[in-house]
Amino acid sequence: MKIIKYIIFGSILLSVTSCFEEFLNIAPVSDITSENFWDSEESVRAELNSVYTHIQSAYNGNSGANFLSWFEARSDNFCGTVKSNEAPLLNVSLNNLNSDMPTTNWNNWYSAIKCCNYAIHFLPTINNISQSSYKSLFSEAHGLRAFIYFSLLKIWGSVPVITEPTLDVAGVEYPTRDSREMVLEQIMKDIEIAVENIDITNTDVFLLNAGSIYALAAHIYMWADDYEKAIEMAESLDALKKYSLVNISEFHKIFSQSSTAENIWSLQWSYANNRTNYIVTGFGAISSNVIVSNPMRQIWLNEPYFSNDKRRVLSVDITRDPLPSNHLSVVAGRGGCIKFADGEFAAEGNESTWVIFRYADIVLLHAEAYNRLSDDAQNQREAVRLMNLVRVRAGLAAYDYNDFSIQPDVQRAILDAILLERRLELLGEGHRYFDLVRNDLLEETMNEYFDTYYKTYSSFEYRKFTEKYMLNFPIYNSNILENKNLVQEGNY
Amino acid sequence: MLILLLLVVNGIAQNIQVQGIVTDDNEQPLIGVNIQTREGSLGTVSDIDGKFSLSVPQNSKLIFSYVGFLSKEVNAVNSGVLNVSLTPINQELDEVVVVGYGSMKKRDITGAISSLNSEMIQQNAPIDIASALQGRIAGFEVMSNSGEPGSGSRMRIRGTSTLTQDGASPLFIVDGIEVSDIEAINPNDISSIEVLKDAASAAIYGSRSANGVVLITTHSIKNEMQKPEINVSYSYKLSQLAHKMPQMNRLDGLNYIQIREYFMGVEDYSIVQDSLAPNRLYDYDYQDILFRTAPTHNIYASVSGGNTKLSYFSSLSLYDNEGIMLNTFNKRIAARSNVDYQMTDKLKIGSRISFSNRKIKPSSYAARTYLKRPADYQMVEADGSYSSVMNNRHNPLAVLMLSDEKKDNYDINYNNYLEYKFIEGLTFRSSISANAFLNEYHAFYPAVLSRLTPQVRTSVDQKHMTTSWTFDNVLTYQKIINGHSISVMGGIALQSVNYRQVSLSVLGQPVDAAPISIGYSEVNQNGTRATDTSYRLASYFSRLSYSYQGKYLFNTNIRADGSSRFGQDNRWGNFPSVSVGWRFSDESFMDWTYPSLTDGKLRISYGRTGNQTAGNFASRSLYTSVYYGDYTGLQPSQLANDNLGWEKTRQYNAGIDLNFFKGRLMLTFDYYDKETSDVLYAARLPQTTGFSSSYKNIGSIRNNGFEVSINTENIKTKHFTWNTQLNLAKNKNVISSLAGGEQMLIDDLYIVDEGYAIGTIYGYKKLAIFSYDESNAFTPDGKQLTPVFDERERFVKHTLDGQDYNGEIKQLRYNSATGDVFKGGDVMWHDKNGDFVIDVNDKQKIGNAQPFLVGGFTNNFFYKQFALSMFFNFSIGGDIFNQTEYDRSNHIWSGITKANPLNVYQSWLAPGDIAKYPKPDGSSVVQNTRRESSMWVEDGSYIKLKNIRLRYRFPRSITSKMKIERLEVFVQLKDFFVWTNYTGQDPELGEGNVFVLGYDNNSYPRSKDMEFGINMKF
Repeated sequence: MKIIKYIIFGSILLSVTSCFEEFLNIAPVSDITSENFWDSEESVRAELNSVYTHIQSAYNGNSGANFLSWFEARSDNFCGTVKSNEAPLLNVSLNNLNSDMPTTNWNNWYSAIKCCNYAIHFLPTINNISQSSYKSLFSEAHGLRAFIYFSLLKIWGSVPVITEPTLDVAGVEYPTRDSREMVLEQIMKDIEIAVENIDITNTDVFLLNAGSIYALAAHIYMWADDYEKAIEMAESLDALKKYSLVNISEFHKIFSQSSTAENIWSLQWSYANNRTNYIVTGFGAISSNVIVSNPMRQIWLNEPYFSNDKRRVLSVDITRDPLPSNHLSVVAGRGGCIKFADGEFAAEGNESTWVIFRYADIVLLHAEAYNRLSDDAQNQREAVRLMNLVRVRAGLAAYDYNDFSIQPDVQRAILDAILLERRLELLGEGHRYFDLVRNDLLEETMNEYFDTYYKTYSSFEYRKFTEKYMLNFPIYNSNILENKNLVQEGNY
Repeated sequence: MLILLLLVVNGIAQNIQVQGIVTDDNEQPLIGVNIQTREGSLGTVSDIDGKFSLSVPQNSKLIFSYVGFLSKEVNAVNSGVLNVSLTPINQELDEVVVVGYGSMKKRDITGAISSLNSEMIQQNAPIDIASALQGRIAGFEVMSNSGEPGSGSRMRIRGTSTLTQDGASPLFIVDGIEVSDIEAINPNDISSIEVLKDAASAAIYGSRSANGVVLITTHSIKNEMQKPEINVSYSYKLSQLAHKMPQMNRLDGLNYIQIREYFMGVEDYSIVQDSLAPNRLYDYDYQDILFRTAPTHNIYASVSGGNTKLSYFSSLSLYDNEGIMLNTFNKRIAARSNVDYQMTDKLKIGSRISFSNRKIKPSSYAARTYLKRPADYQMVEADGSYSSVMNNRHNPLAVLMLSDEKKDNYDINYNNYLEYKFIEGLTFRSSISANAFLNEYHAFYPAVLSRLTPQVRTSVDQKHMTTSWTFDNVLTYQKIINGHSISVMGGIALQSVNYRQVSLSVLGQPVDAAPISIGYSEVNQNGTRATDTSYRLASYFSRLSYSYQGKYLFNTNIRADGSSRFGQDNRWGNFPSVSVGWRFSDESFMDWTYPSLTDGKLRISYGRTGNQTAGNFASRSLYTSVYYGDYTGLQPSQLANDNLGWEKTRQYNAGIDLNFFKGRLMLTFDYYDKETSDVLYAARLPQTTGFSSSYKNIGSIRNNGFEVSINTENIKTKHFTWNTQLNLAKNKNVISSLAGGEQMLIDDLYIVDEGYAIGTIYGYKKLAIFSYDESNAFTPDGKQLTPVFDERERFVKHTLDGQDYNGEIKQLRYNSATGDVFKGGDVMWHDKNGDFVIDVNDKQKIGNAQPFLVGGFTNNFFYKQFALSMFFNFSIGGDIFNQTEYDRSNHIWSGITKANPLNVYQSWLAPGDIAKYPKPDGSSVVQNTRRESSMWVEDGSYIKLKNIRLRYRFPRSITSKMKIERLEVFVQLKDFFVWTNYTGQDPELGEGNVFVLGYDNNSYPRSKDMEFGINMKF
């Protein structure tokens, strides 16, 4: 009897237990899990769309100070004026970088890489997808990854190269930094795949379309000193027969709307989803976080630029010319770059687009490639011709090749002219600092700038560029705390 | 609402007639005392003078019973008047306390349980449970979040033992049901609150009990003859700003701009002096304008009663609280109904139903930044409309009056139970309870409040509903054989919780006319979404209690919980506990202590509790939406972690209860040591994975400390009584290991790392302000040199200890060996590593927000009809990070943000100044006013006279004529007196997550209140 009782009791208990297990199995409703996520090309599209979100956050982070620190405030074009915890742009301009600055944080870039890696990893697991969609997404994913690593390379130099997604906690790795060469190697691999699988029907200006893959490739090959490939990419871009230099009267539209034939790739902005475009407000004429430096303004105050270059009034708040002698130490709130806002005032709530690549940039890069290709007249003539396209659009007279051929070092003379042209044309677009690095001119240019400009107009203590590690940013302190395998370079 | 049944059984003739009066200890007559014969067949109730008359058979025994008093058995006598005096229960040792899934005699408790009865709860006429509990129970810390109406409180039992954002609050159980919102409960409805502090007591609640358990029992009436009792009370409160902060007026503000710009090198002040702009000609005292004397009404009514079969309790309350800031309020209506019905001798059923609705109009953060706004900025235009944002400074008046922000919460709880007694001692109880919590949030910001150009209207509409049900089945067996008392309990429980939310966030409405999400031009996609998520819990539990003659006590329980939140392999957790008690005062060898030691008990317990506060699908890989312009993205947001499991807390407790001189001096002491392991922690991941954190079971946290509570009856005479209650608690908290997790800085300020307490403030330590440029001079081993100047203030030499110094001189530099040298008026930071460079490596602990000692001290005086009580609450040794002060006195942003005038008076202004603060320099490149520094850390110790209350109870001779059983009036002052060195608004701070403690960020200021009230009982 007793045994039967126990059996009955035991079986009741068992059935209760199995009911409990059943009871505890609940499926998520509004939480999307990986079991059901990767089922169509739309999943990959959505995944890649998040890459742009992260790139945008990377640019716009710290109230736009990220973009300004990485790409502009370090060059001789702009002087940082603020020193808040969030946006210590003055110290960026003085080359006093430290690992406490929030702008040294690379988190958004690696979040973007995560999304690329997920997309590349799961794309082959999707069944019902057409060959053309597959190639298109495959190309875009690799192109984006190349763009992100290229940005990381330019900003931090040596960074960990991650090409596989982390799928669970057990798979978390603590990587070390890879050398600049290895980072560049990965970038080359990715851009080759992107170019190889390019989808020329992808023309969306707010996504990494065919044109922008060529533009990106041209930039990458220039960085790698592979001028032939750079020229090839610029020519492939031309072959798309989509892009041209627009009339100067449409200059503002290139930036605020990205709707012209000159626009290759831009980031789209929606105030409702992405809040203010703080890069634009940071440049804004009123209470700007960076002002256009006096040496930069001075170029436009000299002839023939003063009279003829239409870009001056379209780019700089000229009401501040000439700047007062204490303009570096006293921020009177004006003196910014007005190029990106329609009109001089950049309103909070600004949702203008942000240009990453446009045709004028590639034309000048194309010119630079020809000039660097070899020291021969034919290439140099081609370089001058390309450069003149941009000059003439701005209202300036075209250079004659003979203007340069009389110089002792023709190649250098043309390079200087191209760099000057890029400086004027692409002010504030994030190129100047890397133009100097790419051509090994940074140390001499910036050190002279510090000694002549900052020394004269301020008592700020700047740090000269003396060692190679200084070209790049330190790694953010907290990124090192979370991964002790990362080691700071040089004196950072 | 309720149909009440009164069964009055009349006496039978030819018996003896018994007459008498029932009184309490103080010889006050008791009305409505139930008087029955032992057989229960005959009975009556005492009248308004406490008199009764009953005819009963000879030699029968009468049982006198009354709520809150100990029942008494008296022989029926025929002659004269029978005077019966009843003793209140709370003075007795046979007091019963509620424990998980049952109750126990307080005598037999072996864990650390503190309890409050309704009288203690009512002592300061609290409006919610948090204020009823604050400072009352040793080891239970309550910090109200702010003075904002309906803003809630932070509660901790024995310190913080977890690292999850919202997993540190105790579990609240009301009449056996887990509730999430205790704000809605009216303290008047409560008959007792038990706080289960040690693991042995709490472990019966298993995975939800790691932070302690608070059991709340609402009034219920015994199933015996009761005449209906009606309680009505009303109180009226006036509140005012408790502490006005110093703020610059217009002229101070203009001077401040001059001082600031002088240090920035501006030579020409004329521009800033030009304040002829018509919208900058004002001189407001914002605190006088934005604050008011606010009234609060509180009305409460309840009715209760019953007979041997049926009993009921029902209440309704209305609470209307206006905030001291304009146009803020909290209104609450709450109703409760408790019914118990003894169907047969064996079967009893009952229900507990409660409903509440709260409407809250909060102040928004923008309205609370008035301290930063210049006094001369316009608030109202000539045409009477509100001025819009000026230079990014919100118009606080416009924000308060026009921001249409409101919360509307509905909370419904329903519980039905069935109790069946198989045989004497063996009872089965099954209950099912359901809860629905609906929360509506609405906000609309009209154009004038927009900071954007052009101005944009925005609105948010949200509805969220949490529904849950719980099914409990408990079997209990109790038996007493020859002094051996045994009780066994076992049960199973199922719980299911579902959370759904719909929210809408839009912008760009064309007009202010319809203050809701309609006619918009854009949608904020991040804020427009629906959520539907759930979790479930399945449990077995059991308890065994044994005691021998109340002298040797033993309790053990175990609970197994399965949670849907964890991976299938780690789903179940076991939570055992054991505790023993020894009543040594009953031992014969302790006879010598008689009669001074009335009772003495030693208690020792050990138990393991758990915590499951991770996300609902914490172990799975999840994706979330992000938006880029017009494009919608989905991206991985959480990494899968199949090994994720329970957080476990083991706790030892040793305590002693001493009762001297029959309750005149009662002392309880507890020591505990609590260690939480496998802490659920959103551990940081290397960002190179693309994920910032993931839930892991990491490391351990230790809390240990002691609690003392001393209750004394200092004077007790016929007319005058004075008693005091003192409780003290000291807790030491430390993160004892963080294996596999890395150091983390929360908000760049609070460090989470091995060896640090939670709430440790981390940053740069200010030692002094350099008086002269030449003061920044040190010997190579770090001793500061003293500069010497001649009569014309020219630097001559450095001295060290009075001797001329000619050796090597080192200077502190900012950030790098080639960085800026600190000058006169700059801060001398502590150079921790001695390299003369102030950088990240010099960061250190600069404060600990956790107090050293907290407690409460109550004094009650009773003189005839008067009662006076004073309740002090104190917290000693906690530090506060004064973000409010940093915000306005950092000088960085612009001269528009006005510093605290007291800060500027104590700042360095000229060489030689020995100052508290650095020079007010807006362009300092050496970050003198950096945020993560000890300059903004202050001692937050305080003693508050939380309330002082005078009550008058009308003599019965008066009230009986008015047919009122009891009539009381009272007046009280709340928060009128605070002793503290803290310079901010108020040192009592609640808000913030687990890590961010003692963080003062422009919170809604607290009020001081004066309250009048009247209580009536019929």
